[in-house]
Amino acid sequence: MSNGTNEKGRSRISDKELMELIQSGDEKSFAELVARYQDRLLNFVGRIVTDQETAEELIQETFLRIFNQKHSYTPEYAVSTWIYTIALNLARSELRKRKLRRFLSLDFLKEESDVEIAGRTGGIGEGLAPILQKAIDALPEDYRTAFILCDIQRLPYQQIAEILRVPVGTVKSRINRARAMLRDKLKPYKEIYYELSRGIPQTISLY
Amino acid sequence: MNCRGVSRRLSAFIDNDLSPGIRQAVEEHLEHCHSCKRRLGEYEAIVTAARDLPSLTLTDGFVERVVKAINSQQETKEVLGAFRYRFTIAGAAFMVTSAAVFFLVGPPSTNVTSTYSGVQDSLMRQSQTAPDFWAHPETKVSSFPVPEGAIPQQAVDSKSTLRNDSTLRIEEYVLPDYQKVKETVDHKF
Repeated sequence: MSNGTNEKGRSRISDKELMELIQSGDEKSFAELVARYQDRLLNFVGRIVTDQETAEELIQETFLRIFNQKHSYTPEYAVSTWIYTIALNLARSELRKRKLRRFLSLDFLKEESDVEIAGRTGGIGEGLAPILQKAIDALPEDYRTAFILCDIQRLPYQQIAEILRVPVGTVKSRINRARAMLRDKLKPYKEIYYELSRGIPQTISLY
Repeated sequence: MNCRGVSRRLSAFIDNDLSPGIRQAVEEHLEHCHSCKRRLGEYEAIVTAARDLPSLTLTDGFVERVVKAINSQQETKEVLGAFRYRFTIAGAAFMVTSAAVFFLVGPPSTNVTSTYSGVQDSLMRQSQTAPDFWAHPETKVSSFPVPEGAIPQQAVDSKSTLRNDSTLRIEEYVLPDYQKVKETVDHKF
């Protein structure tokens, strides 16, 4: 595909073809790539670092790295896998920095509890989403990332394994464990489960 | 299949990632196990709720900010690249000029011979390091007496010329290049 691909053509081509254009120096194709992935990355990185402002900075840095390292991409993997991997590395780096800052400021002595998670959100009165989001935020990073990639980004197990660079079996295990942990965290709130289970025909009555 | 086996496979069951045989075994267990069935319902509820979580949205002008950041980065690279290019050219020109001068004019003369008959006490105490006068190429060193016993033995090697009148002859000294003088003298001492 030539550099003369018009806007309409760019929006139709596959991610790999788009990357070829970017590698050949087509800047408009890069803008198309940003448009395709910006929301997905925000909903991925944003839920890992749990802070929108930081997430936007990390996504900007992700796109800068994609642009700078565009020639390091090989069609062996899906473009999305490559992009998610870069974003995840940056997000993990941010989490490590936070952990260090938290350790240095001795804030690690103040552990958050599940009660606080529910208490801060004001219970189900404010709706289900904040409570579930807080429960997801409270998951350990490995489980949270696997859960987000599977249940929010809706990626297949194989791709998640490539992004996380772990075997598929490990991915399945982490997702199963994450769901079980969320179930345990939300269990004290019967009303939440009632709300969660509404509209799911195959689900039996919980209580 | 027992409850534990089913519990481990509930996620894969929801994601439709079980082989037909195992899926059927799980389904058969779920038909008569109320506890596992309830657990399945809870998992499904969580998965559905997670998929329905409201999407985060970027603040306005994100694409423009990314493009601006890339352009800014490109400009910085160009400026640095130009500087690097200029410095490389300048460095190469300097090297070529230096080489030409070296071959045309020749190296700085080292054939300066002077004799001094002795070393001052203070200098001799520092004989392992550079005496002050070596730091001043213009200093004229002439002969001066060596106090008896002032020359440390370790400072005079077999290449030095120790005259009968207790004077030490240094063949090379006072050069524009301090380091060279120091090396030469250190070697001789």
